Amino acid sequence: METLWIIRILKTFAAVYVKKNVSTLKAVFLNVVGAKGEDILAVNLKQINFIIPPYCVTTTKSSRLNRKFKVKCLSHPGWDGWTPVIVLANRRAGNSDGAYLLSHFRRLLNPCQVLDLAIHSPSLVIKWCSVAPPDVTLYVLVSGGDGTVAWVLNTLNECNVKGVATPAIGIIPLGTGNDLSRVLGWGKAYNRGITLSSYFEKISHSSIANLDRWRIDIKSLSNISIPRASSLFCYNYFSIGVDAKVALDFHQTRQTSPLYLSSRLYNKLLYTIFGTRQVVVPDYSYLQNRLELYIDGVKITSIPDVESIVVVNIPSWAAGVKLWNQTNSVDMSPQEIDDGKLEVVGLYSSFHIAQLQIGMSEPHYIGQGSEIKGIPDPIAAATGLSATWTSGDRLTAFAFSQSQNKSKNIPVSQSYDKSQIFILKPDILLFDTLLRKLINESSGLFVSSFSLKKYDALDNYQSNHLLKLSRKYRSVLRESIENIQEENARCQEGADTQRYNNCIALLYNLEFIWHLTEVLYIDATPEDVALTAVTQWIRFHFPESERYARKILQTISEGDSSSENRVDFLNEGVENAFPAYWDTITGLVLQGNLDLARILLQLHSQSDSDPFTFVDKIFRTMPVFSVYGNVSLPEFNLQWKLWQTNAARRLLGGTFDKYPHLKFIVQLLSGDVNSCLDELKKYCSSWYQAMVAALLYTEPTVKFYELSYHAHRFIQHYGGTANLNFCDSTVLALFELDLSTAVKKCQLASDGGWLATHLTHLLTLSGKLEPDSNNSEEEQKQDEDYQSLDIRLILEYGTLLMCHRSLWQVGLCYLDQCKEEGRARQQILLSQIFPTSDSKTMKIIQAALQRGLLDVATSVCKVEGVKCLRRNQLGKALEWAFRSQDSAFASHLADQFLQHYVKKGVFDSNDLLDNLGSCMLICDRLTFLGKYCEFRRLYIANKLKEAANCLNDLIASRIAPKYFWLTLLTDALPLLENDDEVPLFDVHQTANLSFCLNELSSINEGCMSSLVSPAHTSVFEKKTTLIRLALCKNMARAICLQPTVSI
Amino acid sequence: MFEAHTINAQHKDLIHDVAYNYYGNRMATCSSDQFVKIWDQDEHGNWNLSAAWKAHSGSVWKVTWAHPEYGQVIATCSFDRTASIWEEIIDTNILKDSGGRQWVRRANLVDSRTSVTDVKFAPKTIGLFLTTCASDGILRIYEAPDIMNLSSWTHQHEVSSKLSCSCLTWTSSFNRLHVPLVAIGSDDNNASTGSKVLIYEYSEAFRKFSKIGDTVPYCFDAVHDITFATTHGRSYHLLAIATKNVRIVKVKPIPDNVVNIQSGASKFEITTVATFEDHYCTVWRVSWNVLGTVLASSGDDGCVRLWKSDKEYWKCVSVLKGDGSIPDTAMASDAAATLSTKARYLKLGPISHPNQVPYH
Repeated sequence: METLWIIRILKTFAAVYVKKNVSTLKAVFLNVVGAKGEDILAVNLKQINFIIPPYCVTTTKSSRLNRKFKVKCLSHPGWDGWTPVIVLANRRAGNSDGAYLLSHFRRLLNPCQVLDLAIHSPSLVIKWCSVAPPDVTLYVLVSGGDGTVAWVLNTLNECNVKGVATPAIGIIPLGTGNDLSRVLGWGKAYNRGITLSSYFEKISHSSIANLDRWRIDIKSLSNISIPRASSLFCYNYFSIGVDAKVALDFHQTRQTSPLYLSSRLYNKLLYTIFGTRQVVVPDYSYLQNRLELYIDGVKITSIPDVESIVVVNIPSWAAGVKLWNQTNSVDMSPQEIDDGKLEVVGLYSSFHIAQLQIGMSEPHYIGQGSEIKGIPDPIAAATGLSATWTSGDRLTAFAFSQSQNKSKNIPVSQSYDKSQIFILKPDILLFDTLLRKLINESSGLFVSSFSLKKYDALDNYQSNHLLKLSRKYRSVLRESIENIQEENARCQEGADTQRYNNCIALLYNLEFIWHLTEVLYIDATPEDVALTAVTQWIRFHFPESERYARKILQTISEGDSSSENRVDFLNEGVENAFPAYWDTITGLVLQGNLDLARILLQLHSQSDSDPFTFVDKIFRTMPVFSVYGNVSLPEFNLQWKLWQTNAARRLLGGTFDKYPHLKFIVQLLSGDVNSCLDELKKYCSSWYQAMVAALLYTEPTVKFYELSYHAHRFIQHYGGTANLNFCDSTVLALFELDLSTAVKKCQLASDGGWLATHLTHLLTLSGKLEPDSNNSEEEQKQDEDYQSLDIRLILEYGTLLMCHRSLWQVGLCYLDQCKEEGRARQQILLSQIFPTSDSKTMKIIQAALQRGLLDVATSVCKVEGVKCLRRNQLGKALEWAFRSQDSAFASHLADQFLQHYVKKGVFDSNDLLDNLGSCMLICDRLTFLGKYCEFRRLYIANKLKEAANCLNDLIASRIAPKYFWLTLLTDALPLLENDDEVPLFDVHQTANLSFCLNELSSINEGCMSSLVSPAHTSVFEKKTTLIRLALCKNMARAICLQPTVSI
Repeated sequence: MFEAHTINAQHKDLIHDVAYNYYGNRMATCSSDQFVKIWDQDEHGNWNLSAAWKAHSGSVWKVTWAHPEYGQVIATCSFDRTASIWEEIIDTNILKDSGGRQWVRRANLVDSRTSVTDVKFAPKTIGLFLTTCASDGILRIYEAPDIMNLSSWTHQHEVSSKLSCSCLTWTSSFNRLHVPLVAIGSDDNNASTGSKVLIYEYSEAFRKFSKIGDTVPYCFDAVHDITFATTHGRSYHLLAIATKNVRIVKVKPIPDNVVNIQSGASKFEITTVATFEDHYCTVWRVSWNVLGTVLASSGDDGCVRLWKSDKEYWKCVSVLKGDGSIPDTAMASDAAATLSTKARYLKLGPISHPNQVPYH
């Protein structure tokens, strides 16, 4: 077990460790607030489930006088939903409320179910659990304060040890603070006005929740002190400091004089007295200097002056104070009772506590502890961890420790040879190949949306376009879902089903949320018909009933052709032929689809009877409000009231007793939702379905802004806000008209930001989402780097795509829309895409050039050139050099060509060199190379005079590198020895050549001594002698022909 | 949140540095076992060892890649007082398994009299420059005049900071108007010696380094690592400093016309934008992501923390910690991934919430 918390108290030399227990506790969580009316009959019916009938239980007593008894065996009475309740109470507790409860519960239940804690120990509950039949959940109703509850919970901990199923626990709050009871919804205090049977009601409306149980180990750090109680369990909170001192003072006072302290008010008064004493004479000031606090093994150093450190598990402290108030800090997660986390809060003083009680002040938040993401590397655990970012969004982590760095030089420890490197990358569902289509098509829509201008309220045309755009996005989502389903059907391997399902679930959720947003925000409907829009949304996403109804109708109409079948249906009754007949009709009614429901009802075998004709009539006569109709709102309300009273009257008349389904429907129509809430919940799997169904028949003219209230009401029925998943909470935020929260929630979807990006963009276009409500206009102007939310999201999404191997082009489109920042990101990311193939390289260059990112294009070309050079592909490298216009690189390449020529006497890629054209002007060396090739062409073509001129130019211009001079002169040799009448080189040219030759030989002699091999020297000398000879001859001939020229 | 991919580095001692090339498809590791190893990623995403050699006769502290425009070049620095430049060549004569690839030492820079603690290439916009810093407090700048010849390096400059240097970093920017800056950090423990982060600007026209007037505020504790973020579309540089806490400093050039009026004043405005105390102890390394938007810091608490900014406000988005016990899921996926023996995938969290904290 990992140590999560250490609080080390310096002065007393004790350490408090908090460890999480493996087992979580069960406690009954109260959900329901509705149904306040005392329906005695119903309660009595339900009470049966909680009573242990006398014939089911055997108890023994050791003697007649002793009131203690033992449970021998317990058997099942035989009816469904039997969940026996054990009531625990202390008759001395809480202002004699305990005795009252005991006697009254003994009246309602089997007396052996009601245990007096003054006589019995709570371990009897374990006995009950062990004898109970295995499939029965036992409920334990504990009446008492938090201390009593903890006592019982501690005892029940042994259930885990003994392997008995843990019972669920409910609380009747008799204590002073009742924090646990508040959190679990059992109310803040008991008073005698509450009827006991209402507790049964509460139990039946409750669900089971888990509570973290924490073990606190107290270890003595000094050797001399006596070891005290070393291990305790904690459920609510524990603290060190002033409030603990107050509680201790109170506890000691209560121990000495229990008689006076039976009243809750008196207890509170006593707390106040002790608390005030701490204000005047603080015992625990500067507590932070007297202890060391570690959260998750990390020492907390930045604690201000506090008098108390409170570690809380539940969101209620000292009679209902919410210490961990979520609203003011964004990066802390909300406090939950079963999240495996504790929250640490510092309190400044006793007076501060009083301020907290009345909500005047805020505590100092220290931190929230939890387990940290672990890298499974034993070495890293020992030494520490370091991390480096890789290109894109990958992070590399490796075991690292600097402390031994400086001194150590020789490797000694063998334990490190298993060192590992971890490359972490975010796991993004969006990159699944199944979703490629979604990404590509939505990017098209996204780009097209930029042709639309910002929303102008008067421009009807514009808003129509936005609506169309929104629908297109949705159809892309729908299409993707269908594609994946087809794909899934095609390859029935089974292995990948999980993957397909993940994708479909994701897309479905996205579409669901998108649709609601469209209905509520983008589709410009008038205020009063909010419900129509929302009903459309529900009908669209829960089409099961409608689909089934169509199926029924189709089967029957097919049956028409063969008349025998039809007769069968009529004889049997449609309701028997189709088992889901009633469910379908109810489903239709709940979605307001009355027309279809009527058609189905008429098929019923009893459709002529009175109840059916009546239902048909009220279906037909239901008033429908339409903004464009000529009925005003009050007038409509009047009609509506009349219609409902009519329905309700018939209901009371008992017309529908024979048909429970019809009764439910009419009950619903008459607007009596509360009484048939359970029934309603059966048909609606989610709170929004139930909400829409109820609103349809209670408030048909509900306004948009009222939806929030109703949403909260129905969430309460479905387990409270704590049970909301991602989708639910987004829907709630949308109903609350809180778009910024909704967008925040959208970012949590595992779609890599797809939904958030596109939806925010659309909403910004429609003008519904204010750029940023937190910043005022002036602030935005001051901040030069300010970006609106949608731009930030687009940047993020575009970057994500650009880091992907094959989606970078799509990412570019998104970044195109982000002005400078987008351009800067493009610049960095584009140049970092690794070109795996030539075609990809060309694509990158093209994309860069399109966006005017010349730097990137040049850089890519250079890199490609170097790559070719390494592979010795000179020609290709030269091509890249041309593209990048890199003169240094080009001259290097030209050199390579020439040196190669000196050695081998041929060029590698003649075609390229022959057609250099204007490219050769990049650098001198390349110009020379080009010219030299020209010379060779002329020579081969036997245009000797031109060749000679060209050669002369090359030599005279002195752009040839030194190592190439000899080659040039050697090339001149055949030209010099040409037997034509007129020598090819005139006097000046010949003089030039000989001058070069002389210079070359002198240079050569200079560096001759060591560098060049003797063989090479002899070759050189042989060549120079030949050339010199030829030059002399030529000179002679030239002078003969041109005697006038003076040398 | 993350999918992890494990590589067994097989170094015989602790790894000191892991560096990626420009594209992130090659990785160099260096360790106290005096070896440098190069890893290549194949098209399936698996990492394979492509070269390993004993590079120095002491612990190799840092390794860094040159821009691919200069070929496949790395530089290393070591406790043995040298820094080396290595180039990968394709020798067609040797046809081994590695495809004739071979790393050769192009140059060995031996000017330092003490352990060379960091080595970095300058941004490619100013040419092929290599900078080293050593415990003797001298920042050395070498230049390769001919980018095609990596064996000749001229010792261009020497800047003495009089403090034992531990780390250095260059700014990188696509904007040619930005003056390149180099920052060095010192692990000197004496608070009286002044600021431990010194920033120099390189003037291309005069080819010289000059210290910029202002010192980095409040940095009087030993600095272990500093890194400039990529300056993309921003008008300022962000410098992350690993000292006893993590600190982010904004270095903003003041436009010339303003400077001219108040002549002699500094051309830069340096302000601290964020300080994170979350490590509660010494921080050893800081690393920016490619775009300079997320910072990873690692410290003595054994955790790696990721920081991201939301407008001006920086916050921790994730924490990684070494965990001695290998979880069951890892073992299970290990068995599943038996096909590729070199790679092991494991998931570290549920995939339903890739980012638990909304960034905006």
